Amino acid sequence: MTASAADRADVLLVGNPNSGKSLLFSRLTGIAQKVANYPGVTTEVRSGHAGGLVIHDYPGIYSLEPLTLDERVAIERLEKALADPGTKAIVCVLDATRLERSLYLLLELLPRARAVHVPVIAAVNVIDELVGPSARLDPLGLSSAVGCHFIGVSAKTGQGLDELRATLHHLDREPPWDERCAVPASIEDRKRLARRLTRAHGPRDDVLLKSQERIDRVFLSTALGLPVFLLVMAILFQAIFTWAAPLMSLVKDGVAAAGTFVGGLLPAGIAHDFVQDAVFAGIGAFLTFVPQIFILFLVIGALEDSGYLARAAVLLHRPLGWFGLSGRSFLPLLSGHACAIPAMMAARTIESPRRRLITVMVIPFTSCSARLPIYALIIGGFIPAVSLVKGLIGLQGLVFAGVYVFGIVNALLAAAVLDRLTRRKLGGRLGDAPFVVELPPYRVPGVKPILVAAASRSWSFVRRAAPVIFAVVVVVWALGYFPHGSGHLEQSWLASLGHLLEPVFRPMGADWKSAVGIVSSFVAREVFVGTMGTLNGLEEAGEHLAQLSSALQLGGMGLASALALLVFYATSLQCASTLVVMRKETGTAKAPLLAFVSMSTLAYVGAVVTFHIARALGAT
Amino acid sequence: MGEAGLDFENQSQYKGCMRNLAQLPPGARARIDGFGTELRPEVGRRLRELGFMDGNVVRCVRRAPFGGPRVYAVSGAAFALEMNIAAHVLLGPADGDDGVRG
Repeated sequence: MTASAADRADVLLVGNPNSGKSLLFSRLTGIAQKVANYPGVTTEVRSGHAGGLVIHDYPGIYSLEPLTLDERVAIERLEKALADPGTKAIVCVLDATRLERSLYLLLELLPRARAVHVPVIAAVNVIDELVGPSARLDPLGLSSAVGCHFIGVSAKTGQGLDELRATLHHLDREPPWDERCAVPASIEDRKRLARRLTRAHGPRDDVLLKSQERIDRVFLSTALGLPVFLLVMAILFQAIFTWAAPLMSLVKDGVAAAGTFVGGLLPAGIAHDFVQDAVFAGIGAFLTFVPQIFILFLVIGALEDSGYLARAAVLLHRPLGWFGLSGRSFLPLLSGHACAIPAMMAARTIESPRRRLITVMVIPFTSCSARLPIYALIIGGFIPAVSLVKGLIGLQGLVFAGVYVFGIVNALLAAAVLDRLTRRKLGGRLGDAPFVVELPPYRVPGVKPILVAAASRSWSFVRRAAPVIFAVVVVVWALGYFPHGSGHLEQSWLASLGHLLEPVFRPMGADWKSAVGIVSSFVAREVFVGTMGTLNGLEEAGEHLAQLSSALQLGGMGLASALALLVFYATSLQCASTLVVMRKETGTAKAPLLAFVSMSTLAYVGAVVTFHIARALGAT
Repeated sequence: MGEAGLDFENQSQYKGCMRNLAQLPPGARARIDGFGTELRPEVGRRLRELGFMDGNVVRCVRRAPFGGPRVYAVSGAAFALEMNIAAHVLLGPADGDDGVRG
């Protein structure tokens, strides 16, 4: 930061998890950020500008006394910011539908803020949900009773935001609030004050709690809870495969058209070959799968914002406990299907350090979106598009779901093994780890926020993956192009290298091209598709670019080899960033080392076994 | 872990007088009357902050499948508590009023 502390005007945004704080932040600053209806999703402090102010969005906390790792990180950073002279105000976000609950944090925060003369504004969010005669809110009454600004806002509809902005900008000009309204020191007295304030100035009835209980009767019922959960997961996977299809062909056609256009502009020669085979065939092959990644983020985002994820955590707490995991491991494991890195960070909310360690270590087994292009390539190319059960399910979708289930089962089994291994060493003092999860009200997620969040998450994924893919693709292309140029792949340096590697991968049915693909993807697995695209482009020598999957078939890959590749990629840990983040999150290099060695070994053995079984069953 | 709190409801010495939150059947209300001594202080603190404090009336909303956590309503919000934590929250006699003692 360049400006001195006196010139800066920092505003700290603080509140309970699920108070709609992140959405309010996006509204105030215009920066799209993840808005989640699940405790503890915001693990970072996000900052953005609003007029002359810099707003910092802190992770949701229940109180200023931490219980889990993510809370401790958040509270330490908050306390540092509170002592900073650049901090001009705190906006404490409350939930109007759970006013009594959310007032507690405000009452805890207020004395601390007053001690350093930082004004606090209480933004009472979701007032749009206060409908009916008993659902009233009296901000003025609350203001004079507590001794700080209370403003009713709705981050969803934008109601009250102008007043909040105006208040923030004119804080300096106002006389300080009457600080005679003393805040009691004990937890019990604060809770009682919160109740008295709610009864005097807040909504009279817990209408929302009652409607929430009605819905929970289905989602958390013994008979329907699990079927509904499975249905939700089925919709998730159906969405990835079916809804993404039109978007995918759009991207594919777009990339092909652009490739033809740009290729036509360049004279024949090395530049033309490079653009056509490396850039468009390599990067294009990867870009085609971005729509699926986007849909995955979209559905996870909708589940988060609806409040269902907290129910899923409750529903799965016992079953996951059988494998040494917690109900709170569910969100990290589900997020792992998008990307392992935010998933490992989401595991910070797990209350037991041992369960957290186990969760972090098994996350890479879940099929992240970087594996998705490989699955789609192999399944699309080698599994016939037959529909089953009168067109309700496609065989491809079924195999697709099967690979995901395979990843989940692997994660659970690995967790059970790790549970056994660590129980004796780390178990003793962790037996009392509390599972306490707030069940937020069900809310219809806003379409725009989840679209924006999914787009920004996809974009950051592409931005992180694309440079690596590009670099590897360029190397692969160069090795395949020289010394004889396009159309002489079999005589290239790459072919020599591939033939050298082939014996290692031969037992799993891989030819030299797949061997090159596998080795090149140890930095990042999504590189595989780019490498195969470039290899294919080189072979086709710039002629009409065949569909990559059919090119693989023409190149002699059979079903048995394809299935082996599928198993290999579903199991292996080929992602340098995951290893780095795992080291950081666990605080030891042993965790990523163990994960890498064991998963690579399992992947190789699994692929070899698959190849031989498939061959024995008659697959080519 | 997690097995500890499960059989409380059936233990004969507790029949007739409710002792802790894990024994509160769905639909029933009771007043909270302290914590068991084995509960870690920081966990007790958090429970009090959430509203599980002396004198407050808590209602058991439902139980999750597979003998999992139970859902409790207190202070106008709903929380799922693992049984082995709920077992440390002690209860006084049942009471219809949502008010605070004193």
